Amino acid sequence: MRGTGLFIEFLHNRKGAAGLAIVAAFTFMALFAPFISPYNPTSTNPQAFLLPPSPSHPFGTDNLGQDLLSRDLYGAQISLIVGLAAAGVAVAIGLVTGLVSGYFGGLVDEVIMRIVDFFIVIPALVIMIVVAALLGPGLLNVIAVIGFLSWAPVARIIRSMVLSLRERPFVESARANNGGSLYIMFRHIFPNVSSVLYGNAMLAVSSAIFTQAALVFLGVGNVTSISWGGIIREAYTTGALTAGDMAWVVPPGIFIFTLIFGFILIGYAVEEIMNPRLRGGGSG
Amino acid sequence: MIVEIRGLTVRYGPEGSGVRAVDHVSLDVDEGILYGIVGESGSGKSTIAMAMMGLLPHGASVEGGSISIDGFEVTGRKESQLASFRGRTASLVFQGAMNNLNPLMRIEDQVAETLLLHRMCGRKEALERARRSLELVGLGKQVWRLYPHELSGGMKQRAMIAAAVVAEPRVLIADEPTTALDVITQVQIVNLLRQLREKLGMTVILISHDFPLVSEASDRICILYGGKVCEVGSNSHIVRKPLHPYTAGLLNSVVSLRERREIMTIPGEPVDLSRPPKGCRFMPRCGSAMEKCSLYAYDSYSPEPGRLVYCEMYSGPDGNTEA
Repeated sequence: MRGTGLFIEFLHNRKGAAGLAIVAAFTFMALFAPFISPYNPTSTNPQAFLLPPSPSHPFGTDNLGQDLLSRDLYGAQISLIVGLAAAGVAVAIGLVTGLVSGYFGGLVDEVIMRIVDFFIVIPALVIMIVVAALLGPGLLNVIAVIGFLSWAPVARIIRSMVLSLRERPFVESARANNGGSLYIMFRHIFPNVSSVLYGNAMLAVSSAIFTQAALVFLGVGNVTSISWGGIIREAYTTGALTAGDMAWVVPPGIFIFTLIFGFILIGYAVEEIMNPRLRGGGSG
Repeated sequence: MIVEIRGLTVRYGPEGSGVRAVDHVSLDVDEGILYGIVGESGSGKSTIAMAMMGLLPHGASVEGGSISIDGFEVTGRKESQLASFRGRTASLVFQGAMNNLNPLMRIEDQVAETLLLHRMCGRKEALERARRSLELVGLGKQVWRLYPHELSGGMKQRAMIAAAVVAEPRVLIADEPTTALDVITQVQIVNLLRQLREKLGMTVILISHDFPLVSEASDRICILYGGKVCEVGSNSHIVRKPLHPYTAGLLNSVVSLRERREIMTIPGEPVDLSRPPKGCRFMPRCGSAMEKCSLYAYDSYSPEPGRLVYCEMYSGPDGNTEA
């Protein structure tokens, strides 16, 4: 009952509705790519390479004669999988370390926060390139690299909230009543940070999508699977970018941008709904 | 005697230079009664409540004395031993307890929590007992599954009391349970405490600065001033015939609907505990102060059976020295 109420409120939020529509459209694209793609995205055609956009190939073809529209549609799969999974990893690690750090404080907090500092200060993309190169290509490796290198901001936000929550009377009373640390962290503190967590999780998804595209463009990870970053990379390496073949480069670029924008909108909407102070026109 | 406090001394701050918020306080509470503790701010009443639960804040420590609740010695215990004592043997309802609820937990779950944390029963039984407890404090079905923000202040305070009594402790300590509630709700809460005593056979210790409220409900009353006991006696004794000048002053300062009389105030300011006066702490404000009061060693006198008063006025030949 409360859940549906919140969902309805989410839909009434303009940002939320727009973001959800965008993400839903790309999810549809990813799930049904095999059915809506006009061609097999990997079938080459020596007779039809580097075609400009035309009714039979709306975005033209690449240097191997592969249909670019089909490849762009399939590209949604990798972006969504990597984006969601890597953000899941980052948020899970960030949540646990933030809870532990804030709740126990002292030396534990000090050590974890210095590790967080390290990850925040070091340019993540550089480490990712190195680590991903060491690990070798593979979807799971990309997810792991992005996830394990982007949990630090989440940990810091959660920690700062836990610092104030752990002094709240209900925490004290649970502790006085025999409540264990794990119990207090997950039963009392976690629900009170979850509102912020959801919004941040959406932002983490968008940044993971971007990072994945950037990594593939730079030639790190699995460059042979179809992804938007990969398509732009191919356009770049074959010189299509300099030749001005816009139909090759612009659609995947717009797709990346739009999908990221969709998740950011959802993140903002979640934050607005969860934080009454950001609500416009509402009471209180 | 279900609660026996002997010579309890609690210090805030470092040894030697700290402040003694509670200074050699001794109390005896009979089982099954409603015992009222009255004192102004800084009299040490909340400190006594926290010491009884082993919940003294950081920087506060028991310097001496003992607290025995239902045979359990509270002082000097490890946290793990205290944890199983709290909620089961004694429970505390805090000052402003209604703000102590977790905003994201249903009322019934919060009440059941004590039972679950002490592993006293399974989840299903805990919920059942929580609901019975909520019903006992007058919160029906409609409220059980609500969240704290959906309740009024009085309802939240009731929920906190339900949580405190759900494990059926022998002693319930209510520290200013009516602060921030309106007068009608205050009376309801105090009546509720009385009912709990009758229905569950619980011993209730009601701590408040509100003398009329305490005298409305209590069987016995203890008056505190500046970390010291002034006077202990049955409700009617204390209200009808106060012995200690401070008690008399408190009674005279109460507005009454029944009798029209001038409101008397107690002159002076509360005692500065960092520099307590020699002898009787109330002496600087006392109208009946004598010279020997500054030499007073806080002996208790019992001019009438069942009463104790800590005042030199009663040191005469008919007063029996007790301690």
